[in-house]
Amino acid sequence: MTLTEELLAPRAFEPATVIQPHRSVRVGVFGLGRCGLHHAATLSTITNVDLVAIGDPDRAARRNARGMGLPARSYASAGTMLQRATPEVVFVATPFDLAAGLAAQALDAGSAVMIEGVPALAAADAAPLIHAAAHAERSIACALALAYHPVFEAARRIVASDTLGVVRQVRASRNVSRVVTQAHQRSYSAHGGPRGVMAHLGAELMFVLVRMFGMPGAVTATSQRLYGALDDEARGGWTLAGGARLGFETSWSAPGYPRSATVIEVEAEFGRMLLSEDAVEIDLAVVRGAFPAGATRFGPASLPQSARFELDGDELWLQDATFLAAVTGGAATPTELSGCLDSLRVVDALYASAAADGAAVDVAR
Amino acid sequence: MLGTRSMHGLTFATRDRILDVTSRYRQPEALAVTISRALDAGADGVLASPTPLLAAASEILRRPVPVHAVIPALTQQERLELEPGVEPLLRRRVPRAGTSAGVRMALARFTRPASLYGGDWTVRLPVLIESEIAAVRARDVKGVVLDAWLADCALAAGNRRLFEMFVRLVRSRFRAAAGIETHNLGLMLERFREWGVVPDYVVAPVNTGGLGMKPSRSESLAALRGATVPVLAKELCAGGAAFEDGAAFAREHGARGIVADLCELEDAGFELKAVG
Repeated sequence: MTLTEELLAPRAFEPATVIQPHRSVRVGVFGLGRCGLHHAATLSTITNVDLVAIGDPDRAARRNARGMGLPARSYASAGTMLQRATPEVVFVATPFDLAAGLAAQALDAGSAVMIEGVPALAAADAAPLIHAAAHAERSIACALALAYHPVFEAARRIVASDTLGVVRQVRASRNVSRVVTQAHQRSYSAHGGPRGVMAHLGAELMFVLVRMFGMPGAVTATSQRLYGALDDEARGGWTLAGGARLGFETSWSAPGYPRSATVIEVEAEFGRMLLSEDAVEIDLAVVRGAFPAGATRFGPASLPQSARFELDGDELWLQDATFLAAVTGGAATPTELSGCLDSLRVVDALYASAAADGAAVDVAR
Repeated sequence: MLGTRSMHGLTFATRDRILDVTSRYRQPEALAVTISRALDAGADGVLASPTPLLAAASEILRRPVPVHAVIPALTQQERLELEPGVEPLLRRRVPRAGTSAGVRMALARFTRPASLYGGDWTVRLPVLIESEIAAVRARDVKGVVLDAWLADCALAAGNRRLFEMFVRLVRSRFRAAAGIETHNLGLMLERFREWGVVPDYVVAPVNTGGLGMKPSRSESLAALRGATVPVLAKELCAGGAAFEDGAAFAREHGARGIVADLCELEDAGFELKAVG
């Protein structure tokens, strides 16, 4: 079935295949804040998953997780958890300044790793993890929920199918109302992070943009610090391979966005595409493949809904199930850390450009 | 029932629609008018979190407002940033309560102290419920509903005790209906059947698009048809359905009632009357 047939045919309400591990797999979660608890809950609903361990140095966090009803044994130290529970896969959901070290520890113990907080890492910090994973012959992937959003995945496939023709201009934004006081910003810098919105919020946008439109050669960026030493707002862009201009802006201090909101507008040879978490709309001047001229809209209801449990959206279940399927013999997940390296390099270059007052900076390869 | 979940960000409506509704109901007078029209049209009550806005709207109305209180009351920011649990909620602001409610809250905290039971959702949930319900006039409380934010985590973890305790407590303590909100209807009904847990109702999305109907649309509809627990359908318009069509769809597939959210209604009185 072609892309257009798949997207335009009357939607089968049941996905063709269920995403799940191909065999029973032992899983642990270290870090029991909001992310870790959501992972633990979601993992508990995936077929063939045996949640054998949860852990956090904070006793109150461990008590809260057990209090939720999770039957897995809890551990105060990652080392003890890895040694005694021997999970095949570890979900690392600690504060980002601890995540890389724990991921390395888990890989060393022979576990595959899904790691939260990768956007805060520089590419240079991610590279050793990739090497460690290759050496251990284990997978390491990033938690990048936007990559699994059904609407964004549909848009990526539309762009890849050349339905729109030659891209002429791209405008993208990603905003959330998260840092609106100095105290909010300190909660990020307190964990040792030198990077602000471009890393924490922008990296997912960069991953989506690089995946859709390719790696840039050079980038420019400027940033504004509103509440402390970290960047709170940023804008920038680059020139795509065909000469089209891509511009973005991102803010974690914009009012009116309790939930992160991503918008991508594409102007192209045969029409336009407007993409957000609500829907992807394409407006074509001519018939292209099986897409009619005029407007076509795909919202979440008209796309396959493969997640079998919802906790604040479908993306978390899809992300975790896809990774576990990959670890147990399935196709590689799109957010393997090695695959995210390009977007991390773009973020590195954006920071370098912002530090140089917006001068163009080449992206490392 | 009339629902206000969209004002807490719990909706499949578009962001533009949410902003529109939030703006329209910024003042209690607007909410009071809509509640009054809904009740006049035959709504059995309001499914809403106990917030200052709801309290102010109820004060304006000078008529009984049957409230099915969804607890905990969470702002959109809290829903997206707090770690799931009872303790993070109890560490928030302590609501001002009348003397009797204050006494009950203090008693609940004393008999279930954090030092001994901190982190145990089941043991500490009564403390949270007393704390949250204090914001609603006692005579208005007709139901207490556990927010999906807690319920779905507990469901995933298989926490049967929590649901048993919640149902028992609400019925005995508040003489009210015990409801559970979920976005995983098929799994919730299956687990309730296995566990023998029978709340007075479950509130869950039921819509033509299948949004929020997990594990899948077909499994949820099958569970709904065979449900031994009444299901109140919400998110009727998710996926683009018209309100009347969405209500009809839900009822045809076994929903015992509907929860019409503010973001799904342009004229509450007219539209609710139309769907009976």
